[in-house]
Amino acid sequence: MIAFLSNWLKEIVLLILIATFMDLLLPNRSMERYVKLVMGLVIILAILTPIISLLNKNVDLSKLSLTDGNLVPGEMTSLESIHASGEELKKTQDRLVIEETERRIAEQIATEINEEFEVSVLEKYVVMEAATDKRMGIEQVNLTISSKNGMEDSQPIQPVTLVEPIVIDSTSDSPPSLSKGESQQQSELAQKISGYLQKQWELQPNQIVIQIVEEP
Amino acid sequence: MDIMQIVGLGLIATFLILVLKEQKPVFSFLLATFVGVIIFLSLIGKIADVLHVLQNLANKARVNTFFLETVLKIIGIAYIAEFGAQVTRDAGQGSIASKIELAGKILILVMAIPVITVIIETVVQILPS
Amino acid sequence: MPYNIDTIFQIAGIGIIVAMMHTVLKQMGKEDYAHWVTLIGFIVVLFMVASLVNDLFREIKNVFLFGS
Repeated sequence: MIAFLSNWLKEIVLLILIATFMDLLLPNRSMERYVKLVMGLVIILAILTPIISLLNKNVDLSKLSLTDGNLVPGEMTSLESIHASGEELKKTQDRLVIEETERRIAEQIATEINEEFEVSVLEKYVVMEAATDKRMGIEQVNLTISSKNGMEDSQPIQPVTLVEPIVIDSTSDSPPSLSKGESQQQSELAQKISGYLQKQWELQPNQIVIQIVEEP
Repeated sequence: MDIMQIVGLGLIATFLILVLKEQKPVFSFLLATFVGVIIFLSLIGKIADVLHVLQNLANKARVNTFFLETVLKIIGIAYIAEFGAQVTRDAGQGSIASKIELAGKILILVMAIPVITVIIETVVQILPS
Repeated sequence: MPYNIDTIFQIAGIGIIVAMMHTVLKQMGKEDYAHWVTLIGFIVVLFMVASLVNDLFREIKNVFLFGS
């Protein structure tokens, strides 16, 4: 743009310079008016040259805009689909937000329980209930806890790796395998953890599901 | 200096013409034309230098050659018409001199016709939009 | 000054000589000869002037009307 402008200005300045020279070079006065008229026209043309090129470009632009106009009806018909896809995107985002929230809250509950009780949380799962006006509440907290019976420090990682493949969810239907005293102890622990969670997270007791798995 | 030569030439020619005019006015007129042509020819080299400078400037500034060509043609027409008109006027043919000048003016205006055409086309293109 | 200034003196000399010859021939009573001499001298000078004017026009064409 600046180059174009400077070129244009150079052209005009040089033409005016040449016109002045020509006025001096002219042999007599009788031709002067005519020559001045012609030089004025030439200078006007030099000034108008960008406008001419602009006009030529405008024709191209209008053609381009016509093709755009052809494209517009297609966009109009696809407006609903745009809304639909926007709706879908919004839903996806909401779902992602809920999942992320569930994951974070589960993490936090797990760390809290880890710190509070001498147990390790194997599986934690929090279900959020999507409430209106942008607030969400915890609908259910599922915890699978293995009680660390005295072997807290010796092998903190190995038990977890050993237990994980067991996936006690399936064996949760077989509490009879557990001995009575242990099951009572476990239910006490579950009660304590449940009470702690009720107090800490202001949950109802039926919202908390705790499964305690015996350490092998 | 060229100016000395030209002035000397003019003075000598004037005296010779004064001498000849008594005897043969035709020869004095031819001599005057001849001297005029020689002075012109010695000047046209200088004018060509000036014009070359202008052309170089125009080429450097990328001025449209159409403008420069038109301008140069106008000067050339003006010079030739002026020269012919003066010679004819010297010969006492004022009417022919004025005809030559008229022709020069008209040809200069003809030079402007493409320019006027382009300008008018531009204006017509601008006006409806 | 690339052009021959001598031509000026040539033309002036031709003019004076022709005038003299014209006068002499007129005195001798040969009027038609006198007119012929004048005409030939005029043609010679006209040829010189015309060639120079040709030069001038070509030069002007070269300098100003370089397009055509």
